[in-house]
Amino acid sequence: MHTSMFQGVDVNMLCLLAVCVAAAAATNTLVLVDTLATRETHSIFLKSLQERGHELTVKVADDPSLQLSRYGEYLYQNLVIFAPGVEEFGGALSVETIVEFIDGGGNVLVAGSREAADLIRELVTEVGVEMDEEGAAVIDHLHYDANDDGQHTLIAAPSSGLIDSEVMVGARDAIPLLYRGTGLITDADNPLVLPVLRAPSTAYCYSPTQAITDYPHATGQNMLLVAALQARNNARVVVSGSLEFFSDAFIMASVQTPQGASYERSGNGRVVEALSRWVFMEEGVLRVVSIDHHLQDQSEPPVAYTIKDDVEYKIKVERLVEGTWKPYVANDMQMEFVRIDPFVRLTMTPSSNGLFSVKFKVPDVYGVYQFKVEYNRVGFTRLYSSTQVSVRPFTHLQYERFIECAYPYYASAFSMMVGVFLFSLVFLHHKESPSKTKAD
Amino acid sequence: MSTSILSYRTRGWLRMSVEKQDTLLKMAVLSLAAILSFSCRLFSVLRFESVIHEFDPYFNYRTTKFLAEEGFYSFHNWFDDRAWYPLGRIIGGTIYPGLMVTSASIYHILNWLHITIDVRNVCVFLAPFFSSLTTIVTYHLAKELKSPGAGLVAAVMIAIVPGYISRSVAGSYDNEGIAIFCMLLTYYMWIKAVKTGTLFWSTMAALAYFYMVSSWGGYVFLINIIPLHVLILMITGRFSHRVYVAYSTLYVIGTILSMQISFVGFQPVSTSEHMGAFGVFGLCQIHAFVDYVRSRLNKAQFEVLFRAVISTVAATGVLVLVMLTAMGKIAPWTGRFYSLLDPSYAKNNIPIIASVSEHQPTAWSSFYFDLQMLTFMFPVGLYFCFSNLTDENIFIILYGVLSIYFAGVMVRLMLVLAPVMCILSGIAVSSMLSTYMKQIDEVKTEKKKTKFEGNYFMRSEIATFFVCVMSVFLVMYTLHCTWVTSEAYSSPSIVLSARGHDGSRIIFDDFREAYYWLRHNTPQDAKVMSWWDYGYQITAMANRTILVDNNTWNNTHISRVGQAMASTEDKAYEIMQELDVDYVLVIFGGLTGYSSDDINKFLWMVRIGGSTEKGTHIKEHDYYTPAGEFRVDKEGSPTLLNCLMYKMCYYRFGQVYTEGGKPPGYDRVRNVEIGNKDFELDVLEEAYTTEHWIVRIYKVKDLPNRGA
Repeated sequence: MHTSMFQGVDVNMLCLLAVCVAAAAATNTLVLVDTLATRETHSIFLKSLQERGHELTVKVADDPSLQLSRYGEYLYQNLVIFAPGVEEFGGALSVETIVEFIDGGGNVLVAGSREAADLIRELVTEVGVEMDEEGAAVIDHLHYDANDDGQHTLIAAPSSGLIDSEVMVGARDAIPLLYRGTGLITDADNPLVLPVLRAPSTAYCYSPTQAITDYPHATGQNMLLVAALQARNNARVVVSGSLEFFSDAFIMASVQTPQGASYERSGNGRVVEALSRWVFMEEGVLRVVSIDHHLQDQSEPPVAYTIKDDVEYKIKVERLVEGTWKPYVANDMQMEFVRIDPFVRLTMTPSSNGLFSVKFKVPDVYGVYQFKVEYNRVGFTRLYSSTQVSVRPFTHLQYERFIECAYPYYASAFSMMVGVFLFSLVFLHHKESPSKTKAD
Repeated sequence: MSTSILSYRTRGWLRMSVEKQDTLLKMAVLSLAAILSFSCRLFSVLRFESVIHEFDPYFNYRTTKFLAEEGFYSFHNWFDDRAWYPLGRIIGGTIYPGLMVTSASIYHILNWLHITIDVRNVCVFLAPFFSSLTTIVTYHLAKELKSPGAGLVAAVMIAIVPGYISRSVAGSYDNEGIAIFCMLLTYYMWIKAVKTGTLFWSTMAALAYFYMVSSWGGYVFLINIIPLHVLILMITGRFSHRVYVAYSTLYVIGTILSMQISFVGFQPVSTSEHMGAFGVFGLCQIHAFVDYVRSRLNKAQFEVLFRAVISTVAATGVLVLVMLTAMGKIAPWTGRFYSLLDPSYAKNNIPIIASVSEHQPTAWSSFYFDLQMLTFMFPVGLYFCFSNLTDENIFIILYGVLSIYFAGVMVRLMLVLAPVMCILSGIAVSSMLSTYMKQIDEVKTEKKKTKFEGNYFMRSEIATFFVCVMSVFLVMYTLHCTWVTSEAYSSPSIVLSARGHDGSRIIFDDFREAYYWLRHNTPQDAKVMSWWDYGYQITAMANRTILVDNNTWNNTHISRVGQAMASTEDKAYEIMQELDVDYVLVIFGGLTGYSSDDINKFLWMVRIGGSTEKGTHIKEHDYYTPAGEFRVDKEGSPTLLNCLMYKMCYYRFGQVYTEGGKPPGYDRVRNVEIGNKDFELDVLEEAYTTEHWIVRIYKVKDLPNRGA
């Protein structure tokens, strides 16, 4: 119908439309920096973004022309804040607008440092992460790099501290990661925060120049170096306590641990690459394409199911791989049939075209149910699908008409009827005969 | 020309025989009474508009509409997924369909005759129409009991008796509206059957009984009073073949028919409430058999046999009954029935029954308010019945005495009492008037004949005086009834009205405002949580899914809602998440002074909420002050001042000035300044508040996007 309406519209218009579509397809990423020098110090990271199709806009964080949205639409899908020192955002940017940006589906990568300003600290508390006090740095006297200046703040964090998710941090290897910055503590009440990189158990966070007078806020495994949050609307946020973690210097550096192990390259390059793919929705993205439910011998969903019906439920899920949607195959996808509590919970059988299906019998309890699929796996977008259906009891015609065990009663009823009929015949005739005899 | 017709008519009237005049007069009085009973129920339609009243009628209206549109079978099999989310309700199997079937048939017949009328209007005017029919049936019933004169007086009285009008004004579309007609019809047929002893009238009585069963749960009263009548007849030695034929036919056919109503099902053969009727049926057979045996044996033989049989039968009967009850084959009596016998039963045991105002015991004054002079005429009528004891008079005495007891137990049963009051008073008034009128007449004629005076001094004067006093009483009764109907029973309760300072009428249409807001501004499948009182109205008017409604069949589910209302926000949020609640609706009267709001009902929510297993943490005494008072001001208990219901009612209320000279946040129902003024809602956001703040709707927030 639309195509017919657009017939005869000149070619320029179509070209314009094509341009618009192309522009929408590219990912716009805003990079905020303290000084434009960051562009040079972090060139490997930024270049890899560009290579993956990001339209980068690099600006100083207090640039007065900054804005995230125009006319109610976001100009960027992603925001990188490599500006730990910024005291005040420029333009229309503020902590509130960034939080709104996240709630509106935007992804944010924030890097702090030992001297991170209050503004950045305020921003990260909004996503359930707390940076340690200003001036405090992560110190570890056992896991530091040979290039350290003696304060043991250049940490060579063992890769065993990485979160166990290939989607987020790439394939596992033994190369340590270089890190210099502040420690992160997460809000224990927030179930959505993920520990991407835990500090070694011997690390603590304190000002390296001061004598330790009180117990450090963050110590050992409770301290995070990199944290992530996947919000309920699937927007992703990654917070790192170290800006240098992403820098060319750290990515290219070799690592030598005090224990004597040495590596030609740090693990940073690989992890930064994987983590940026994850946070900018290039990896671990799933979507529900279609949901279908019907009786097993039909293809259309009925108005309402009846108790004890045989039902088939299908859900098609796709995964984003290299920019295209491909069928998703997994053998741990479950479906629940819920009425306050789940009455049925079954693992669905996958197929190569991304279609998960399950067959089951509706329970013998009527009510309003939901087909629920909740698929939460670390690193993947949250899949949630619920379809409400009614399950009705039998109609008066769906019951058995004749019950076997009632045959004696049927027999007695009919024999009674016949008996009464015969009796009335006999009764009537019996009455007549004496009158006849009398007459005779 | 017109004068000539008039004169012709006058002559025609004069030429009529006495019987014809008598019939014409009766017809005229009766039809006037029928018209009167219809028209005096129209106050609310004239004053407001043709709307359905109250709560239950909205459900009946909705089901009738469904029946009229979808046909009987889909109605019979109707599973409603909009109510009692997520349990749903089988409507076809849990209602008495008589009312809906009646109005749907009327609707179809009228439309077939090309009288196009809306289902709603059929529903609104059904109760007045049936009260006209009741008037006519009452005439016939009283005529059978006493005389046509008594019938006419009873008919006129029932046409305007407030106790009946309260449930049958236009718009009050409820089961009781037609059930009273069915009940009196059954009584009439029963009396006829007892008098004639024919199968025809007994079968008619059974059919009338079937109609009654199909329309109201109060049929249990009927199936107990008729056997009781038979039993009394047996005890008084009045048992005859007529009674035997009448009762056996009625019981057998009536029971089989009543089991066809799916809501009743096997109850007539399995519950204690119906066991009396069954027992009397058995007794009837035994009695008839004994009579037969007696006619064949001599006295001495019979005595021996009789004693032996009676004692064994009684022993085994009791044993079987006890065993069946113990085995659970015979269901124990339901709570409503217990509360009939013991008024304090419900209060102590079942909060959901006690919370309904119409299940409360009747106050003395409401007898006078609803019945006026009938209260005094009732014993007089009883006297006249006793003075001329017949089979049918015993019935009406029984009915009167029993129903006056039941009406005292439950306000609602005033409805059952009103007709018998009218009949007995009709008998009383008619008997007395005919006695005294005769004396006025007699004196006129006798004066000429003889000086032979009666036993009384100044007969004629006393008679005249008495007739005058009686007329004054009757006029007073009429005035009282009209006044009560107009003032007390004609407000639709969905639209409220109040008097302003200058005496003008102010209309509060907040309920409909809120329901239409829900209808037009919320998603189709939104689930609305409210206290059960408003369930039927929300489904009918807002067309949204609700959690609990006025059909209080699932105590646990209602209790869950009560718990949500009585808990703190966090606890309530868990319950609301569990039940997929999208919106919460509360009724609040603090701004307008509308007293039947949710805060005044709140203690019931607490009691009902705490009455189930999951709600044991909710304790009634937590909501009282240490002194044991229920207060919403500063003295009030902190549990109360922080519960969800308080917060929803008084959100933003602390900044509102309601009455001159009072601080902000002054509640005009409780007449106090509220105790907790400055608070924010965490898990809810205000979605809509109506013009006079009577209905407030809140939206349940989603879980926070970025975690805690």
